[in-house]
Amino acid sequence: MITLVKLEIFKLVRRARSYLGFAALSALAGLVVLGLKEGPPPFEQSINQGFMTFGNILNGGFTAWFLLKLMMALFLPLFACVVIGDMVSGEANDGTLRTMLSRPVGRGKILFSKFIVSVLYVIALTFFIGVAGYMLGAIFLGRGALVTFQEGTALGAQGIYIYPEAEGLLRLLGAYAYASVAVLSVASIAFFISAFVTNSLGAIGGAMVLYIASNLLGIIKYFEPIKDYLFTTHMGNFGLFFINEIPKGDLLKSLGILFAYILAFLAAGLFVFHRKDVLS
Amino acid sequence: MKPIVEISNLKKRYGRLWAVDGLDLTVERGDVFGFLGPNGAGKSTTIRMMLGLVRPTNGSVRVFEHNVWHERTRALTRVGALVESPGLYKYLTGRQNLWHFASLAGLAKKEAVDLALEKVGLSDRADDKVKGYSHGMRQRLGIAQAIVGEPELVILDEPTNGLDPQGMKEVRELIQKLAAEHQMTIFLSSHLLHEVEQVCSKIAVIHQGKQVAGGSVSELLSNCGQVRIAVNKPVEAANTLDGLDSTKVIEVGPDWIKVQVKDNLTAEVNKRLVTAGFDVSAVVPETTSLEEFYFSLLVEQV
Repeated sequence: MITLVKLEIFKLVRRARSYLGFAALSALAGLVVLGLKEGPPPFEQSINQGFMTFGNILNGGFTAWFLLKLMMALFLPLFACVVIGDMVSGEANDGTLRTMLSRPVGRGKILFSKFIVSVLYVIALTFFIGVAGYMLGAIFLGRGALVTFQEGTALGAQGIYIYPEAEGLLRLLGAYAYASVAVLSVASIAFFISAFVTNSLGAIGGAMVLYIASNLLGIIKYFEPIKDYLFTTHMGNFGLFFINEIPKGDLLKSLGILFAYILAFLAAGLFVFHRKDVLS
Repeated sequence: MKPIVEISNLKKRYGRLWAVDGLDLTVERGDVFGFLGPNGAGKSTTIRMMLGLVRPTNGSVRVFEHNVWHERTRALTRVGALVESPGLYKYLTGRQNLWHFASLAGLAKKEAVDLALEKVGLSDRADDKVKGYSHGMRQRLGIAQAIVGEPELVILDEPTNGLDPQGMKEVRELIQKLAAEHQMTIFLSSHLLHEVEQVCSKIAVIHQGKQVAGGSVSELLSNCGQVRIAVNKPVEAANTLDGLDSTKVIEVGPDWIKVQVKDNLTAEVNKRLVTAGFDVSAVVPETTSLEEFYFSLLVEQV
């Protein structure tokens, strides 16, 4: 299994597609820092209207927090799906899947090794935006306490939260770790679809359609009873890390639901891949 | 000794179409086995079932005594294969491709990779990315990945596709060398009949998913039952034989006749002519080319 994972990493780092997300997210992070340097976003203006603030509110920590909120809506799930949706379908399309499966190695092992590398990729991509945001923010805006403005999570925690720099960093670390799991829940849909199609666009598109559909279901009143079981309801709960007393019970429940989605799609992918006829 | 490949009553259905319909086949150790058939006959589907890529609807494929679908990894441990056009990573070099596929079989040794590249004549371009390779070079790299680590059974599906005449000749020689010097068993699917005739010791011909002929090449090509008889008065001799159930005169020449003889009754035919007063100076079995044999088979099937 270790050999298979190494081979998958070897292929991943040599593909231009793997760097698309990193390049695009770097550019977006640069644009955000540039924008923050020119002037604060509206809610920061509102802070200044209502409170007297000292020190540097717009800083590396704030940039990392702001980028996470911004990217989680679309860009992070999308760029993760671009690579993860191609993991199996890309190989089927190129004919390399049949060459791989002509070798004496179990189908389950091949798929599972690809999933492990997908997890690593999602973690790398998510944390990259955090590190890039923090570094760029620290260089161009400076460092300082972390000020976050929670517009209200699914659990209704709303308000302004201010933490010393070290604590702010720890909370950011937790939020990015949670965000990795959240992004993986969307990516695992792309991975599942990728296991039985030969066109990566189908896997990427399919995952994004489900992601958008789940988001829509979450805001339609008729579907209120199932809202709590939608993965998109819990994706934004990285914000719980910025509440004074982190509600651990709620956090674990959200994580549990996200992991349930991830494991369900992995199991479904394994089931399909194990039985499918490789015709491409 | 047990056959290396045993295919029993193999069937594969796609919707209403039976791509393979009750195929039985055995490949013995040391065979260079030619697998022939027109497009859509079921060759590639059969090869995919031999490699566990496609699940049989019925029947089984056993390779090295292991059922391929149920014991894939055990069955394929000593197998190398090229299925249709070579599936390669274009963004990796030739050597990296070979290393990757050899690693999957636990065969990633520098010497083995170098040797396979040398055998297909790609040592000089091994460190170039595959996206810069010509079609022929990719085909040769595909063959290299099939033979890396010297497997006991090599399955090649149209290995000379896209190669120039020199490249085709080299691949034919390579196949003969692999069989003769390295004792590999080769299962070769090809459209090129002269290629199969030159290289293979046994063949199977399939049509619409069923085997329509099979056996050793020399037997199949000589046992078509036609003999050329050198005889004086060929027209009269032909008239004499025409009345017999066991013979059918095919052609009459200036001093010979070509006769289709049933049930190996050539000696009986000779005796009949001599008894009737003809001077028979030679009776020679007619051999046919694989191409003639193949097309005569397909005509029978239509």
